[in-house]
Amino acid sequence: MPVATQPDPGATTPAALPLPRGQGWAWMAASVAARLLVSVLFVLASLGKIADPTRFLDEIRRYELAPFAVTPAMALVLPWLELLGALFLLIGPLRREARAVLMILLAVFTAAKIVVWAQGKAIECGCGGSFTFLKPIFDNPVGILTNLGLLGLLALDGIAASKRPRRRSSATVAPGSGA
Amino acid sequence: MLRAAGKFALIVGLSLAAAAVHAQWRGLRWTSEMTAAEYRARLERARVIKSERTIGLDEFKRLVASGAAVIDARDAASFEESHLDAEALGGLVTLHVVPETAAAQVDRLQSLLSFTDTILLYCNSVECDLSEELYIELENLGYLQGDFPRVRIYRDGWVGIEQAGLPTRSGPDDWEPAAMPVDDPGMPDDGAENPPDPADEEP
Repeated sequence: MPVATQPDPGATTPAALPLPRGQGWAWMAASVAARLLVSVLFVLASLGKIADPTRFLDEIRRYELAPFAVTPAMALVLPWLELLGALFLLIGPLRREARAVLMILLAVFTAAKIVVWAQGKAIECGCGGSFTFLKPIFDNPVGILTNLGLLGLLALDGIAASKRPRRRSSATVAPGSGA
Repeated sequence: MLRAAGKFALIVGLSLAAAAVHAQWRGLRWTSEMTAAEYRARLERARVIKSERTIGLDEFKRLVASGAAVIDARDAASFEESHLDAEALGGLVTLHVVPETAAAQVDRLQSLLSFTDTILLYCNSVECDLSEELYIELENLGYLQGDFPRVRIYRDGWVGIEQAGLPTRSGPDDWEPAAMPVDDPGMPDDGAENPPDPADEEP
């Protein structure tokens, strides 16, 4: 029965091997904390933009990085990508893809922040939309560090997810494997 | 891999759908109503206004104390949470006007001129351009004729007001010309809903 005795390819990677007692919980706690923090910040930031799309559009235009014609579409879609990405990261079965969406957004936002900072432009980030209390953590140069921190938290969640033992289907579990 | 791509596309698709509903609900456009050149010209005009019409804290306080009206150009939520109490400084009133609502408030702004010829604008901070945008909007609406009324922009905005410890108050903007104090020198007759325009009174 080669199929039955073949271990699950996903479960044979070193990352999926049983972790020493206590480490599993530590990774899980770190993962939950990272996802919670990132999700809360993204939900707040996106709601601030959704509440005041005109302001967000103006902020995008001030960066002068995106083609002007597409800036209204960006101002409409980006906040919803952030909101749904944050919600799915926290609660959904689309966690891995949501993490990818948020990491792509953060990478683009961080690159844009670095470019305008290097150009010496003193513009408001627009990251929190009408939620101006988010300004101190998102405006340059602190905003670059904040974004890098959020990217790091998402990477941490990704690593934690890879260390989580995967469920094996009954058809592929070798008898006596203890799984 | 295909499954992951499908899930990724699902998130993007849901976001597009939500944005479409949002745009429909708020009447927002997916394309730009002005060209990049027009936008840059507007930005350049804002830079000129910033350099010519901006004042510091001392001048701001002096003009408010001389009876100027103040306009808060931040968003409505920020205004309602807290704004400058111009009356406590000897000023006329603090109104809430943003560039998008300026056209709808021209009559109310016109009535301000019965009481003062000086209007001071502020927004969030030195980085904020909402005051300049409002200035441009007032120019486009024909409200500004040269330097009348005398409109100035407080450079440091709300941040500067808070740092200077100027008096503030909360609540919405419900100012109406008829609500002015009776002993105000420019007060119209009781019951007058629209005070006379000074320009109309000239011989």
